[in-house]
Amino acid sequence: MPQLVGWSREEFNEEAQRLVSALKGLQKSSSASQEFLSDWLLEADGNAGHGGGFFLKHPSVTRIVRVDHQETTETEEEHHHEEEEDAFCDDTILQDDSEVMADPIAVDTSNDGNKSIHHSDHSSSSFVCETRWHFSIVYSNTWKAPIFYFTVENMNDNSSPCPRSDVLQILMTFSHYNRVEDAWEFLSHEEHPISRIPSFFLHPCQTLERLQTLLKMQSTMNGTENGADCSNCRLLSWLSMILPSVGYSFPSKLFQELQEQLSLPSLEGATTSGSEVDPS
Amino acid sequence: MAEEEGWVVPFVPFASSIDSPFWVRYCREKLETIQLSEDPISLRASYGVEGPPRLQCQENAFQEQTSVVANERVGVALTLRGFNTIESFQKCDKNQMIHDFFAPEFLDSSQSALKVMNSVLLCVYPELKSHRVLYWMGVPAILTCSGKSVRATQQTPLTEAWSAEEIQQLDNNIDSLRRSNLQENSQGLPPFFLVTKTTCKSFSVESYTQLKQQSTSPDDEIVFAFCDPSGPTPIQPQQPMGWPLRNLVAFLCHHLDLGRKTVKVLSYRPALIRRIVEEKESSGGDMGDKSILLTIRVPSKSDFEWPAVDAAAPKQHKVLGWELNARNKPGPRWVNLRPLLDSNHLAIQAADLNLKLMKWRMIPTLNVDQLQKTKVLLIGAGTLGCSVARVLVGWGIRNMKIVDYGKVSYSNPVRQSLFTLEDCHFDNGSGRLKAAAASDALKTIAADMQSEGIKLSIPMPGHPETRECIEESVSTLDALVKEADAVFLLTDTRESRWLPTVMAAAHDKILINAALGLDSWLVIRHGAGASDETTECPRLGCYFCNDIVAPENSTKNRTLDQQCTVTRPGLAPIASSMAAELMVSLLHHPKRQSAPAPKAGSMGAFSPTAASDDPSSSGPLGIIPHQIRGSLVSYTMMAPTVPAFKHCTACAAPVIEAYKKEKMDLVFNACQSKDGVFLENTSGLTGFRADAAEKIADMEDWDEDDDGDM
Repeated sequence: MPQLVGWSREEFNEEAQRLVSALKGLQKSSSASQEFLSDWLLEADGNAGHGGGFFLKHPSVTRIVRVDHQETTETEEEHHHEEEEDAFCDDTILQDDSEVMADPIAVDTSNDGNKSIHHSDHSSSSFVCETRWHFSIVYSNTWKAPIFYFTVENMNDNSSPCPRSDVLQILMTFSHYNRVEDAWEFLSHEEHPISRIPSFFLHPCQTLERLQTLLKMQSTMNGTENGADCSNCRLLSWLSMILPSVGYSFPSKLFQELQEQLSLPSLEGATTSGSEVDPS
Repeated sequence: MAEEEGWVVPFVPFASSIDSPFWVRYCREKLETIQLSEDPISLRASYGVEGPPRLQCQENAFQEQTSVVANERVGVALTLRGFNTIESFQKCDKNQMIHDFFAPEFLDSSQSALKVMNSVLLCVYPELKSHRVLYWMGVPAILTCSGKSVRATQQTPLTEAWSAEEIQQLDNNIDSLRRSNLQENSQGLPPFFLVTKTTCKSFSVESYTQLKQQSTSPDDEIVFAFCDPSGPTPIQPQQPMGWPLRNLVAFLCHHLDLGRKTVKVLSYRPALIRRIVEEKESSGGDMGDKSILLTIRVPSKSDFEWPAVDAAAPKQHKVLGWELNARNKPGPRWVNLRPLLDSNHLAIQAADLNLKLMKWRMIPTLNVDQLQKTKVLLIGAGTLGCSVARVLVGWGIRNMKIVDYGKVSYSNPVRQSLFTLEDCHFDNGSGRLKAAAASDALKTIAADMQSEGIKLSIPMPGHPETRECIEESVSTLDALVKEADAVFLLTDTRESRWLPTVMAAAHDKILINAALGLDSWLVIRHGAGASDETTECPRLGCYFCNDIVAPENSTKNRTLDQQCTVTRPGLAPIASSMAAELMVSLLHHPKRQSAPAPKAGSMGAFSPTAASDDPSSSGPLGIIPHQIRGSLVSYTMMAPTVPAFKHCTACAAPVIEAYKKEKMDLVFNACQSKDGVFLENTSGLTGFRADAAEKIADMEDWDEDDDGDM
């Protein structure tokens, strides 16, 4: 039974490498979650100091979220924002009305599909919003565990970053698990250790204990069926625990497949790929 | 030949999609490297073919050498023009800018045309102080004259015109082309390319000439293809086309000499490589190849030449492409980056997080929001005032008012933690007003602190003043007490504590009183406002309840060492911390200031386990004693509970009633009165003493032999 007495950086680095190769090897499918998983990249962590290390980064993902809208305090600011923007309009700009068609960027369910979205429509009780997410997983020396960082942008609003209140609302729509009164319990905000961009992260306090419990459960369930040693699956298990909080499911079949693959003895010369260009 | 055959091709413009990490990076570059330079900056952006048409700018735009464009995206050269003032941004002639950026290069040669056909302009004004960026993106396209728009005569889905194998072959060919481009350091899908059923070539005059020579059969018909950012959408008649087609057509006319000819164009919309992810699993749907073959008539060169105002002047070209804002008006867009860039914002979040972690991990019933909204009044900005304020900040209290009459003197900074030597130097050594200095100091600690310092002299019994003075001070202080949720009494004399005590009792507010001796300290929470005798828990006492004489002027005839409150430095922080914690506990008790204290006599040694059993317990924060008295001589503390004194000069019912009825009279008389006579009378203390004296006299009558024992 693997003990989480210490999840060292070296262990994390190794698991990260193996996980990314295993994920890359997945066959393309139409499952959104699977696509999401297979896109994780391994990048060099310049901050690792001793001996170098890796962190996992995901290319930006565009997601449509449906939020039960409550009046936010941003309302007045937004209106101001709009008036201000219009004040800068320049009517001398060349346009070609006969040929150009306004492009509806996001779906506004209360109007007909062709109308261009205006983001301050507070009349509808729920609205659909296109958001862009940036994810990364970085090992933390302080917590001796990986930390899941992310930022969210509101594409309806010139890709402005979403403030904490909006992100909390979005997360609550993802799963019942997230519906806690005081969501600070798991969502925190700090500078990303590598990009230095203030990012949200899921607080690691409780994750280690939960992970321990999860791994115990897994061990007792698996028993000695296939002699699988799950010490390489920590990152995988951790990921399967974290993803539902941000609205991705981890199909169990996929999990088992990956678990089996990771349990195999590691191959020599595991390659690292830091570039998006895929020579295959 | 019917000029009006077919339809005018509608074009869909690009939408800008600039990741906020890009802006963060840009703002940093601006501060560090770019500074005031307004030179254009070359970056990389990209667009995809999954639709809707977005021109995306990511953080890796700045890495020119190593910037990577994904296999399924088209790389684009982005020229960023920064402006240092908002006026220069606005005044800049955008039409002229986009024209000069595009037209000369486009018309010059086919190579320069191809380069500039894949370029984008971005005007930026970063308003760093308010953490916002104003930007305007322009994707240039050369414009045909009115009435000479590009017309199409036939539209066929590729799946109908070509066989499945041919389409597969096409995809493979495009992929090979992409790979061969990699060697030339050009990554991603090619924006434009030449296509026949058998082959695929890069888009250039040379390739075109080559292909034309080789072409023998109709199957080798050359189709001009472009990656259409519109993505696979269900095909309608007169399907709108992606923006790059505009320049493609213009190129055909200017560099391939195909003006007035009819050509075939391929709007390449391959089967889904990526798609927008919905929060539920997508239920599928046919997302196969949606490429469209379009037969269009290429305009002639003259169709692009606009007449100048002066008929003799050379013809002009017009370039359009500035993006419309979210309300479809021609204007720039603001991005609010405060959540990412405002360090104050981060500081506030971090401080909040601290408290919330405590709540989450240790004290789930902690009411952090309430603490943040609690309004605290601190009377006195000395050693006690500064230390209490400091502890309260840690608890998340963000609404504080501080009252003090004095100025920061040279002996203050060492003991009064909110002041610095700067405060003393102010006004040629007079010193800043303490209340204001303390309030400002708090703002340098907590980013969202709302503090205010009020200079006020508290009317005190035995210190006569003019009626006007008293009225002003009383009404100001009364309003402050009334508005506060909790009051801390942290002054340095006994008599100055009288009036706030009366006010707090009259308005039924939480009042925590802290006082220091040389090596001993006292923290006491005053009982709630005068209540009925019938309640179960007797009202708790106040600071004056133990006294049998009224407060009077204790400051006259004092020696120097008696004039300054001399105490051991460690006392103030101890007492202040106790006082602050006591208030927080009190706030968590449902009865607040009426919360009962532990039974008198039950508090021997402090025991951590006793807390939960005691009815006065506030819950997770433990019991709430009435008073705490500590000594630094013996390092002991005790927590007695003392009920209110019926004839207390500060909180007795008659005094409070008198205050409520005619506060000015009460205060004025108390201040005028020497030897405390007025208050002793009003509270009934005089009567009480007279009764007591009688009783003692009666007792003396019993035994006349003992003359030394009394």
